[in-house]
Amino acid sequence: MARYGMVIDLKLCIGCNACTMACKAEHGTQPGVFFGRVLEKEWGKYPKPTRLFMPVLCYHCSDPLCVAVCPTGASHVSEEGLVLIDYDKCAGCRACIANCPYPSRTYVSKRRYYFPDTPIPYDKRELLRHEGVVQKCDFCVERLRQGEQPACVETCPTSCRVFGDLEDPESEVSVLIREREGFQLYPEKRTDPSVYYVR
Amino acid sequence: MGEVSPVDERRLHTGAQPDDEWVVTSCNACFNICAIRVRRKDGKVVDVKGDPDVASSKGKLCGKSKARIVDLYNPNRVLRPLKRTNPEKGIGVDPGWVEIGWDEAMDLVVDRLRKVLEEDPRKLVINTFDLCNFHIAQAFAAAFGTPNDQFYTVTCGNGLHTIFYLTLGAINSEIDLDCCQHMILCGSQLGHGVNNNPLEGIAGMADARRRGAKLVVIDPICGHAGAKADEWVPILPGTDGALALGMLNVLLNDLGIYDADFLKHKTNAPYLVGADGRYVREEGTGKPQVWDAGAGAPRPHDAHDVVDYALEGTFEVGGVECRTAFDILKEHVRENFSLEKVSEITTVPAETIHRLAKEFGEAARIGETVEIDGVTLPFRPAAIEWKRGISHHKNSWHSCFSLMLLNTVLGNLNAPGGILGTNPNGPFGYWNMFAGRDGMLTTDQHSKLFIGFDSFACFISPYPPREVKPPENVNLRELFPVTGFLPTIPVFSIADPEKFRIPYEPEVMITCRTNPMISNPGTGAVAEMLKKLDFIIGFGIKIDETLEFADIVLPEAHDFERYWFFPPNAPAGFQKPGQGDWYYQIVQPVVEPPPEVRSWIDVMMEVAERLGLQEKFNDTMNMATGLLFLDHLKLEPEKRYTTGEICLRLAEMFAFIGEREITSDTFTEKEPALNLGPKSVEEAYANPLNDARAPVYMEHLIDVGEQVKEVTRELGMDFWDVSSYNPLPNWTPCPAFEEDGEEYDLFLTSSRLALHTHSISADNPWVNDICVRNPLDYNILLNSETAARKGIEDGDTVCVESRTGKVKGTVRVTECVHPGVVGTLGGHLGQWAAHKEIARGKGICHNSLIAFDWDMVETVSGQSDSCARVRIYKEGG
Ligand code: SF4
Ligand code: SF4
Ligand code: SF4
Repeated sequence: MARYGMVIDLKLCIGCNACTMACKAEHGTQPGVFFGRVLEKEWGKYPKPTRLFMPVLCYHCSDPLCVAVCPTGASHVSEEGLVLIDYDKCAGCRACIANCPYPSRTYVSKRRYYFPDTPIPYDKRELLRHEGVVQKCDFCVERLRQGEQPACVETCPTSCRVFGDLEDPESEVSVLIREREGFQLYPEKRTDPSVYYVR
Repeated sequence: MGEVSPVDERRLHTGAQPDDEWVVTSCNACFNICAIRVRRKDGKVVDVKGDPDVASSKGKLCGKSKARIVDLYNPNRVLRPLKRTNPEKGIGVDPGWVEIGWDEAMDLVVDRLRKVLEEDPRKLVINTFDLCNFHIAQAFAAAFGTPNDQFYTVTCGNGLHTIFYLTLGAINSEIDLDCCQHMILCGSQLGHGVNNNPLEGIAGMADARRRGAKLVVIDPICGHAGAKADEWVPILPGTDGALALGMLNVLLNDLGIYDADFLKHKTNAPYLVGADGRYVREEGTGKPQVWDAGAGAPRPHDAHDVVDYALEGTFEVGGVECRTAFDILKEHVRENFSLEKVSEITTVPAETIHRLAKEFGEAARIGETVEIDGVTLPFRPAAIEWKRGISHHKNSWHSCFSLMLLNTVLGNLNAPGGILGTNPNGPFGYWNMFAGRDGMLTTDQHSKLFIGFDSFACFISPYPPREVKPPENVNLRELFPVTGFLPTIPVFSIADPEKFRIPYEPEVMITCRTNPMISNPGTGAVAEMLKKLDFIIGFGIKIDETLEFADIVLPEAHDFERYWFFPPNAPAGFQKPGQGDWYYQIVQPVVEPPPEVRSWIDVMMEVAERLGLQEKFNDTMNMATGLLFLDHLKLEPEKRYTTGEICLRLAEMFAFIGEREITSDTFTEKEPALNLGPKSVEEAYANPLNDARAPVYMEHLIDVGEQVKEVTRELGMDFWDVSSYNPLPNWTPCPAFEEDGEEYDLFLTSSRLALHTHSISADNPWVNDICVRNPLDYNILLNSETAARKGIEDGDTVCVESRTGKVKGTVRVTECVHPGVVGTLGGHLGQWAAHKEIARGKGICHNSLIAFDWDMVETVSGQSDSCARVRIYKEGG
């Protein structure tokens, strides 16, 4: 069976946040909630500092700690092998957040809108998710089911995000991981993320 | 409303309205106008994506575009006409808006305009940066009888656009990202989302990175481009021109790296110059001469039988001693721009300057060629590019010229791998660059694209120089005969028409889609200018800081609710240069505007009709658009057209030129852009295949400077400085450099973010939500060493104070900024308009710290300086 995965080329990412915006538009997330975003960090000393832009999202791990600890079965592995949350079942206990090694999940206690008193047509997507639940990136499962790529991948103007089948050795993602020494974040946690980085 | 509902005619030929469809249009979140598709579902906009089949986006998008959806539904939109009740105007003064009906609003507007029309139409000034609709401003102004159609305050670069035009035959420039291997960016973030043609630029830069091209970024701030560069070279703001001349000195005098063949044939380097600085002209013909080293005799520059152009040396022609322009340039940089001196000015170490020049020169592979479509061209895969960061100083003209010379001497102008002008040659020979006066490069863009107007998209043809005469236009173009672009100047002249000998007092302003209160340096000066005007008619989606000075505000349609005049991505300025296809996009409405919201274009056309100017307007519209040439398409004299109808005619015109046809599939998902096929080699790479010469020596400035001096002195304007009218490139310090640096010890500078453009994005809630989370965005950047010296810590609230103003903000202590500057990241921030609930109070208003007086203006390019000295201290400290 195919295993969906993503490779992000850190050498190419310019930190433009087009992906962050695409994700927001795709999912209508509420203020302060981002399923995908781009972290920025600098180190080193003037005049030779290093500045890194690092996109983060849910890593759709093969051994997801979040699913293992979820008491209600809300966090589950879908038939496509994605880690998803069933918002009808989520009790908001946040055990998953405590156990996920990555900055992937957000607890949303109360529904909020960008224009506080005026939900715009966009906000109706947020209404699909309940208050008091944990939310996160779903690899744009609805788009995948229609044969499209995740919104962040489609939008990224550098094309530094590549999506495909990790099981197929000839797929673009597999080739990139092989040839560019793709690495996962925190491998020592043994979650086997489906998102790889190359640099 | 008396107009056809745009959505009824949205499909230019059909008219069906499915419940769920992707409408083909173009983005206007910034001036680049990338192709997009917008999804309308049940009458609402629910998604935006890049158009996969059009080159300007290829299915990709930046963040601003999707965020534009929220602006459509912003509850703070202006939804009805507003009238001011408080006669007092000023920053922070409540205008006391009352809602009025359209009938009353139109009566007020038309009556006020009629009064001006009868008294002196020149008293009307139109101020807009609605880029796809510059036709409307030009045609309306011409029909009305005012010369003032060219005022806006997007202060990108008087110097840079003009120098690009003189050297590359185009208003804008880009590096040939398809094959450049060594790129230097100076105060520019090409390929990082904040430049012309950003999506193709980002994709091109990513491809360049994939193939291992080298990127050097010279900038006081290590912004996104600096972060991604192979080398970031920090520099003091306003000194890049000196750096360029230092590098030029290394190339010409130390290393001897230059493309002699190119200099001989495609520049005025071999022209002979006498002791008075002027060309030594051939008797009788008046043509500039060169020295034929083969024949040992002078020849006119355009003689076809020159054996070998002398590039260097002293000669005697007709008893006059003369030297080549190149010889003079070489000596000039040797004498005046030594590494030590340039290093001291710029703070860049001398060995770094030497290395930058050497690597750049070697990467240009002088002598190599490449064959494209059977044509052999020079291959010069090294280029330097710059934008506003360089141009926005008082030394704008000379700094831009100096930087361009680095390209010119390497022979990379409009050559594969080099620096490309945005399409100096148009499709099917529609416009072209050619050898104009004295053999120097010029183009016929203006005469071909805009018949009867001396400006194209507000850019005035700068060569040959225009006649110097007493000013009539508020941008004083009559006294700036060699510049192409004059934003900001009207701020001076409207405030004080007498000082600038404007023979009338500007009285009424129409302003739309530009916000000088935020985008123009010297916020207080702009406020004074606006207060001088008797009546301001504003159009807006929101009440911005400029509209707070308006007397009447009319609700303007959002980009997704209106047509724009075609083509939004005019190839003579905004389409990717180099290889590729010619194509034309459309902007068409996706949804109906709210009931009382109208596109300003429609309103202006109704105003023209009500003023009895219909016939004149159609006439000037025919000229401004080029429809004049085509009998079957040109507007009939008396008829009132809708924007959609004119838009369609313009599309038909371009189809006709390209021998294509507009069908019911055009501008739908089946054929999203009108494609006119691939560019020819001559269209893609102009200079090497053309006999026009680019300048290494601006001889024409000598006479022009004298004329300007004469006319301004006759007018009693003795304050008008002409000291920059020099043929040789030079570097002079900005006024802020001349101030003592003891109290105000740091320079102010800024860098842009891909999510921000102009002043509009700051009030977008999605954009804001992302930026406030990024560590550097919106904050005041201070180098750690400087911060330690001043006892300032990361996160402190600080005051930044110049001699002009003071702002407050949060400090980020970082290594990503030059220790001699205070940096800001993120465009036009620090906004205060009452309607802007999101933008208000975010970031600092950089422009409020900049002095705006005539001493800050360079009188060759008309550029006003954005340099300021500041001091920074902890709040309460
Ligand atoms: S869109 Fe692409 S380049 Fe831009 S920040 Fe996201 S991953 Fe990086
Ligand atoms: S990243 Fe975290 S939330 Fe996502 S699957 Fe892995 S453990 Fe679960
Ligand atoms: S895959 Fe979809 S949900 Fe996940 S970060 Fe990308 S756009 Fe957001």
